[in-house]
Order: sequence, then C-alpha cells, then structure tokens
Amino acid sequence: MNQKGNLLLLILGVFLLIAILPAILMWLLPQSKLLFQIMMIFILYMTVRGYLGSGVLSIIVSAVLIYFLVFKYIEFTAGVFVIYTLLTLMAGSMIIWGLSVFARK
Amino acid sequence: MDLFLFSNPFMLFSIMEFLGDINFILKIFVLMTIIQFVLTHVGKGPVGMVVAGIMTWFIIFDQWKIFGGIYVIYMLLVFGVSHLIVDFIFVSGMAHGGGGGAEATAVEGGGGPSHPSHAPQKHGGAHQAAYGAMRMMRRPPTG
Repeated sequence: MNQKGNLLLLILGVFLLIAILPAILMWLLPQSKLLFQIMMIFILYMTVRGYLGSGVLSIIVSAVLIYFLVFKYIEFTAGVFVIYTLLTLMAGSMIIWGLSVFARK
Repeated sequence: MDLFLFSNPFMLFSIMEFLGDINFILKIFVLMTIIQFVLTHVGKGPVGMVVAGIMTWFIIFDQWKIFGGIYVIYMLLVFGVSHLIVDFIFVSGMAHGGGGGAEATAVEGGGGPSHPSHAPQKHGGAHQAAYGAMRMMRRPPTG
C-alpha cells in the first residue's frame, strides 16, 4: 500500500514537473514566451470562433480571454496547455506506464 | 504574474485575485458553451435569445457553485483524466503484485480456486497479470 502511495506521488510529481517546464523555459528563453503567446492567441481565437462563430462577440470574448490567459497568466496557461496536449494525445498513459516500469526496478 | 506565484512573499495576497480571475474565465467558457448549445438546438431567433438568457441566469448567476463544479468535472473527463485514473489502478496492481489493483479484483472475481500449481508466484507483475486473466477465462458457467 505504501509503495502504491509512492508511485502515486511519483506520478503526480512528474505531471507537476511537466506543468512547470514551460514556465522554466520561458524564464530561461524569453523568446519562447513570445512564441507561446502567439500560439495561445491563435488557439484562443479559434476556440472562441468555434463556439460563437465569426462576429463582434467572438472578438470581444477573445480579447477578454487573451488578456487574462495570454498576458496576465501566461505561465499558468502554458502549463495547462502542455498538460492538455499530453492528455489529448494519450501521452499521459505512456508516462504512467513508464513510471511504473521505472518504479518496479 | 511572476515566474512563480510564491517567489515573492508579498504576492501571497494575489492568490485570491488569481482564483477570482480563474472563476471569471470559467464563467466565460460556460457562457460560450450555453450560447453554442442554444444556437445548435434552438437557433439565432428571439426564442433562442430568451432560452440563452434564462439558462445563463440560472447556471452562471443563480446556481454557479453547483454548475461550476460540474463543468470542471466535465472538462476533466473530456480531457481524459479518467483514463489516467484507470491506468494508475492497473499499473499499481501490476507494479507491486498482489494486495489490490485490477489484478486482485480479477482474481477475487474468478470462479473459485483452481489447481495449486496455478497459484501466483512472485515472478513479477506481467506473470501475475497473466495469471489473473487466465483465472477470469476459467470462470465456470453460471446457472
């Protein structure tokens, strides 16, 4: 039971590390921050346009979301985006499986 | 926001601001979901506007504490967090062998004990997982 708890902590720690990685990257390479911001602006606008369609409302909602998610909390957004991408690509299962193999040794 | 929220102790007060902003962003996403739902099912006419207004008032302004949590859980399920939980249960059962997990559930759910020579040995997770699957296949017919 204790070993399972250790494995769970290891998995949570690795996912937390993955979520923090973009913030560290943006701190080390400021250019990557600009790259993330451009990517997030495109992604947010496409997401809002998918919900609301083309129009003034989409631009207003996109502007609000871009202010908060891209300019105010870009480190948080980048971490969530990386985790979201990993989960979408089912890479989380691979990470858990790899960590279990690592923990078994 | 700084690199880390806690890097500056004087930024601790901004946690509430951060949570408030996240709450506001969540409300915007819920509003977009409501508008998309109404546009898809009712259309852009006045009836759609009224329905969207009523749903927005009820979900976002009246019962937000309930629907906010529901929306968060919904988004986590959409992202595939349930797969991670299932993966962890299977992996934790296989990684340390015995004492729980999917393998233990499979063995306990099997149709009684089989020959002692088929008892699980401490040869590692893969062997024990195969043993659990074999026990499941040998389940006697019911009725």
